[in-house]
Amino acid sequence: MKNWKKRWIEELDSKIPELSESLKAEKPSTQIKTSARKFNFNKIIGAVAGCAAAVAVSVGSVAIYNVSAAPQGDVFAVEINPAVCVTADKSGIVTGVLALNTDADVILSKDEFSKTLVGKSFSEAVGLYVEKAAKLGYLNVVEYGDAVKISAYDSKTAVKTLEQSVQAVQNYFIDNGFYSVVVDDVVTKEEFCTLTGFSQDKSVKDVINFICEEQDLFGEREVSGKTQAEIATVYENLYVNDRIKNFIKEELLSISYDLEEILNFIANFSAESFAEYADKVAQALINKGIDVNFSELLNAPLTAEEYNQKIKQTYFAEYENRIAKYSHHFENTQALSKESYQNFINGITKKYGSLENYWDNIKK
Amino acid sequence: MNERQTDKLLVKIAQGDKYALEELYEQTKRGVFAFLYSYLKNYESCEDVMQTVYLKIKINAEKYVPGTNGRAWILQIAKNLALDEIKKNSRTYLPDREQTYSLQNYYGVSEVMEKVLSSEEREIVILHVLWGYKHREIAAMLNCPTGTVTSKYKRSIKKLQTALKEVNA
Repeated sequence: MKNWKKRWIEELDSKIPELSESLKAEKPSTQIKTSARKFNFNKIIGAVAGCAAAVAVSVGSVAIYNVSAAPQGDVFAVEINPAVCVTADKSGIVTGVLALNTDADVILSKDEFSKTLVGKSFSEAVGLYVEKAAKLGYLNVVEYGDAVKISAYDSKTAVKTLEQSVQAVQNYFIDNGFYSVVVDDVVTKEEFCTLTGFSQDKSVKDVINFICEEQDLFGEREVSGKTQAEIATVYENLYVNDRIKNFIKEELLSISYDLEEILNFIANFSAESFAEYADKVAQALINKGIDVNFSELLNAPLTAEEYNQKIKQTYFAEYENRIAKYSHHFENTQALSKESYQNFINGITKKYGSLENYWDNIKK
Repeated sequence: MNERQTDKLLVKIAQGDKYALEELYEQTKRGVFAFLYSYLKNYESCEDVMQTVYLKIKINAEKYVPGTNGRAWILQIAKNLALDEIKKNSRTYLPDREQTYSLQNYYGVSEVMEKVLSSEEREIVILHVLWGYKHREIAAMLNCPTGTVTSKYKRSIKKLQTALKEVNA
């Protein structure tokens, strides 16, 4: 039987009327604005050039492709800690998004976020991605100096689009009062291959096709072609003993003031103790009247479909946890003056020599 | 939607931001609709009253004092309008199904909830599941111990699941 909550919500959604026209806002103008503002998706952020730029994203185990000269399309990489690869056609419209690590999966999997980026301009898409990452706490906007890096495979169109996207993200930071840095980089073929692990014998077109056609989520691609036993092992190592364990630890910490025994458990929270006590912790929470929804996540999936379902459940749970933890930073923000923001950038450049050096210093 | 988000949107609505009203609608429509249904017991009346709820929110947003529980403020508006609707119709309400029907004739979760849960149990389930209130927050709203809310919630879920299984059998 379908989960009753899900069924209830579906029933409500089928009955609830749309907000009446008289209460709705007027449709916004579609005029493109040249200065980027907050990422209000009813307005265009920055001018979008009809360029495609290829940007390589450095991420873990991505299939290796070779990059030849004169790419047909463009590929971008947007790194914070979660990293994604974004392809765009020659008009600068996003055609594909690929997560390059499991943190990016958390961002892209909720509400099929990756699919919502397809069809948008690259500047808008990267802005939406950065905003989402910030709201989930992957980009630290509370303290000074976190950074986003946007890399592009070297081409004339890529450079132009890169500049526009950097400006758009900087304007987002200014408008929201965030002292964060945008680093841009144009990479050569060799650097691109080093960043991404692509082999030297595939074309950029093959790379773009891979990004557009393969599964968006890193976790889903990890088990491609694997046996059932191997899938269970991947799930246990990457999810149960890592992501789910850490997620549950965060959940327990948030309610620890109510439960002394959980405080003791947290103090000795290792992979070994988690494996042994996870079921008991879940039951202890239920006995205290606290809703828990992670019990079924502890069981290894039996099929590839169940694996995909469970990793998404894990991502969704982390997503909600992060929203609850970080989204309040976005309330009551105040825009910076451009001078103030520029002084901040100048200070970093003076201290580190370049923004690239700063990126290397804080992220590596 | 948490309390701060609700506050932020209500402040924006008071400032004339129509997009904020649309966003508030999207974030709260399920909770408001289910809450109205628990009073009105028929979907047609709920559809009519829903629009009035948000019109009232728009008109009165400037009277809302930030930080004083925006979600509860919205629910109070919904409750008042639901009671007005009940009074306006000289009969109490026309439920979607006669209450003498057996459970077999109830199909939707909302309808089954009306049948098997008390009004307080329904309220607890709606506040927790659709509005995101924690049990201790609900206990404060209903002026009862947290444990009471927790045990009522658990009992309600069990009753609901048993009833839904019977409906689906």
